[in-house]
Amino acid sequence: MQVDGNALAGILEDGFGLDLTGSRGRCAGCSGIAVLATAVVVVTPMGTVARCAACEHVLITVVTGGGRTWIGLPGLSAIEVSAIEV
Amino acid sequence: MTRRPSVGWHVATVVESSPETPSARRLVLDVPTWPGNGAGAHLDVRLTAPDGYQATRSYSVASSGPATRVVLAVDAVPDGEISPFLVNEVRAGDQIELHGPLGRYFLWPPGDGDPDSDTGVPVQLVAGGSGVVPLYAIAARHAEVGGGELRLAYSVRTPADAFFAPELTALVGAGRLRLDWVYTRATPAGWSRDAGRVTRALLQENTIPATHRPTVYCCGPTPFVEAVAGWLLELGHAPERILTERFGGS
Ligand SMILES: Cc1cc2nc3c(=O)[nH]c(=O)nc-3n(C[C@H](O)[C@H](O)[C@H](O)COP(=O)(O)OP(=O)(O)OC[C@H]3O[C@@H](n4cnc5c(N)ncnc54)[C@H](O)[C@@H]3O)c2cc1C
Ligand SMILES: [Zn+2]
Repeated sequence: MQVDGNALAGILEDGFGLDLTGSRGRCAGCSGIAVLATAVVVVTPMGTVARCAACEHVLITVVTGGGRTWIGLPGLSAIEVSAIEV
Repeated sequence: MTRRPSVGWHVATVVESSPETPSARRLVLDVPTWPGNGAGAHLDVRLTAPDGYQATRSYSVASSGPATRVVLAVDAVPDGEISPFLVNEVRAGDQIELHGPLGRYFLWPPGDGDPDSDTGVPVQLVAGGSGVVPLYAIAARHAEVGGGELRLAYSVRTPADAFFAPELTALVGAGRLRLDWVYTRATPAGWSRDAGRVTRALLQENTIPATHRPTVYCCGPTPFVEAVAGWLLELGHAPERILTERFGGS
C-alpha cells in the first residue's frame, strides 16, 4: 500500500528518538533535498520502503521480524536535525 | 539535541466509542501519560494478539492541546486487518497501546505547532473522507487561537459519510470557517451541483486562490491527495506551501 513519509514517523521515532517527518534529507540518487514526509512510502508485509519523490531512489528501508527492527538508510546522504529543538 | 521524553508508548483506555458515519466510529481515549499534541498530529496504534502477533497502524488525532483525552475517528476499510477491529470490536473499558504524538511536518501552526509562529497566513484545508480528521483538529485549534482566513474543501461520498459534521457546521456558524462540500456519490436534496469527484475546476472554485499564498493542508486517500496536490501546483501554489498526508488505499 502506498502512503508517504508521515507514516514513517513512529518507526523512526522508535529507532532514533526523533520525529523526522519535518526534516529535510538529501537524496543520494539525485542530490535533491526534500522534507522526509514527502517521500513515497510503500508498505508491504515484507517491510517498508521509502523512495525519493523526484527520482524514485530508495531512501529508507524498514524490516521487522523476530522482535528486531532493521532501519536501512541506503539513499539518504544527509538528514537535517538542527531544526529539532524540542 | 534533546529527545522529547514524553513522546513514546502509552496505554490508553477507551472511554467512549460512538458512531461517526455508517462505516466509522469516534473513539475517545483516556491516556494519563499523554503529553498533549499539536493540531494535525497522528499516533500509532499497536495491537497484540494472544499469540504475540503485533500490528501497527497510524491514526490522526482529532483533538489537540494539553488534554489527556485523545479523540480518534476510524473508518472501517472493508477486509482491513485493523480498522474493522477498532470500529466493530473495541468498546469502552478496553485498553490499547499508542505511540505518539507523531508527525511534526503536518502540524498547524507550521514549525512544530509553535504558538509564536505566524498564524495570520491564510489556511486552506482539503480533505477526502477520513482525511478530515487531522484537518478538523487544525480547524478547531485555528478557531480557538484565531488567525487568518480559514477554508475547508471536504469531499465525501454522501452527506452521511461526513466526519465531524456537527462540529464543522458549528465552526461555520460561529464564523470561524468557510466550508465547501463536494459530494461524490449523492448530494443533499436540492443541492446546486450533481454528485461527482473533485476536478481541478471544482478545486479552484472552492479554495483560496494561489495569489493569496495560503498554506494548504491536504489529507485523504493516497489517490485523492495525489490528484489534489498536482492540481494545486498547476493552479500556482508553491510546492513548499502544499503539505500532504496520504492515508493509503488504492
Ligand atoms: C499518517 C496516517 C494517519 C491516518 N489517520 C487515519 C485516521 O484518522 N482515520 C482512519 O480511518 N484511517 C487513518 N489512516 C489509515 C490507517 O492507518 C489504516 O491504513 C486503515 O485504517 C486501514 O488499516 P487496516 O489494517 O484496516 O487495512 P489493511 O489490512 O492494512 O489494508 C486492507 C486493504 O485496504 C486498503 N486500504 C488501506 N488503507 C486504506 C484507506 N485509508 N482507504 C482505503 N483503502 C485502504 C489497502 O490497500 C488494502 O488493500 C491513517 C494513515 C496514515 C499513514
Ligand atoms: Zn532523488
